Amino acid sequence: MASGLIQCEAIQKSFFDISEGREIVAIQELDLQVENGEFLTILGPSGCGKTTLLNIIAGFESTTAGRVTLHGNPITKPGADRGVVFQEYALFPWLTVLDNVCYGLREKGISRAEQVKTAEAYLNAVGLDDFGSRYPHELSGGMRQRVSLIRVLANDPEILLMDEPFAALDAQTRKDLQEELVNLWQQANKTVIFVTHNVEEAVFLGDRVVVMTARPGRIKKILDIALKRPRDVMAPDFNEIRREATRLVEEELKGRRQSILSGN
Amino acid sequence: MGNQAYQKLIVPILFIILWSMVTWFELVEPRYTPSPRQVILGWWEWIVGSATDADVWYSGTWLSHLADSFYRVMIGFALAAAAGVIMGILIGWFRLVSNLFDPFIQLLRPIPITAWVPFSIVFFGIRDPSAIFLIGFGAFFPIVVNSTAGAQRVPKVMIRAALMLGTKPRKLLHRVVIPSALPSIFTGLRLGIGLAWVLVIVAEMLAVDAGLGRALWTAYEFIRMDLIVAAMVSIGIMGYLSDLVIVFIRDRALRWARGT
Repeated sequence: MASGLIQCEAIQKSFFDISEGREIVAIQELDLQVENGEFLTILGPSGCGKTTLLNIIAGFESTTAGRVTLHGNPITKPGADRGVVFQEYALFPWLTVLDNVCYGLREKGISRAEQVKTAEAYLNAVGLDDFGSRYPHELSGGMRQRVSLIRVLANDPEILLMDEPFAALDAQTRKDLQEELVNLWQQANKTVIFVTHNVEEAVFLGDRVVVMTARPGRIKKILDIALKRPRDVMAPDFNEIRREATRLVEEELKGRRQSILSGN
Repeated sequence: MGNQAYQKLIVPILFIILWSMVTWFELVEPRYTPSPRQVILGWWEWIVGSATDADVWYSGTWLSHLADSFYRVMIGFALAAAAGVIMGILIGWFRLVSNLFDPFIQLLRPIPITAWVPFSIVFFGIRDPSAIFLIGFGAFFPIVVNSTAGAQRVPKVMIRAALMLGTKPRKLLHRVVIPSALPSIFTGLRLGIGLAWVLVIVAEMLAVDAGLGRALWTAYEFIRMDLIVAAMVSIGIMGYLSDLVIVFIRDRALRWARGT
């Protein structure tokens, strides 16, 4: 059997939707192998189960059938080896920015002086040196998401799981953060799984783009992005891939519209 | 805002002017409606007087009544706060504790605290413990309910964030649940201290023989409406000051929540 870092084998996830009053299959028969050190983006229309897939890898949710392994061991619960960056930042509002970044290190029992040293280096790397003593609510969305990202990186996880982390940000901040993320990823040499519904973002960031089908979520196609970094979103070869990815996503959206119109 | 301080005085001053006019023109039965001046004179005698005549029986007793009430409120509120916050967090976080205690608390909650007065007197007598029981028991409910709500409403994403950063599940309570519930807990404490001042008066009228509530009732028996008003204002001021103390502590403890 092939042995990626993370191995999803025939996973299935269904749950009972109270508003629809029936069982919903969010993910069906999904196989996926994530390689060590790669930047994998998962692209799909909203409601396709991509966040659910990420939550299963994070250990927040369990599968209904099939299994997910990390280094061959089944994932059953969250752990510091898999850092998560949430769309809603999820910083601890009662802790200062510095203490948020120190949080994971403190849980590891590292001395306060070491915690602060590491945290300050990361704050410096994202240009937030002067904001350590602020509280999260005093920061802009982009700054909060930078803190959320370095809070995870400071904890040195093996894998970074990112759930539409830039979706709530304005276009310019989003662009800046995408570039910062690629730089940090190249320095830190981590495996990243990044969920998005934005085609350009998926192609700009990913070594591979996993395009998912509309519900129930399955893998429609995996695109290998061989473009050199830093990538130019205006370049013809980038555009070609973007067009292909857009076509794949739109096929799914169209399929869903038709099934809604025909009452399924 | 300092330059808005005068706005806070407008309504009380208008009220006092209206009250003075009503009594000056004797628009209502004067015997039962003391003027502001009468209230201040009566109150002054009540605070600093040293007369021993029977018709100024209240002379110089204000501070001792105030101290009695204050003591009962503080003890009752401290017990209510300790029990309410601890129970509330446990009910809000642990399903088992919630199943065991929440329905019972919700059943007791609608019963007016005055309904407990007979039992209170039978068990604790017409003494301090009776008042402290009624105050503590009454103030317990808003505190426990708000603490429960605070612990229940911890956003799921906060729990997940802590877990993926390496917090052990058994440590979630003090790492995430308690800090996240603090704003709600303080809301409960503010409601609790307000209720404690209401209840101390009820308790002293019915179940204890000293304190501002008892003084108010005695004044009623002597038809000294000026002293009743003085007692009412005393209670209002004490309740207001106690609330300010809690708000002061809250604003320091919850610096992070300011402006959110």
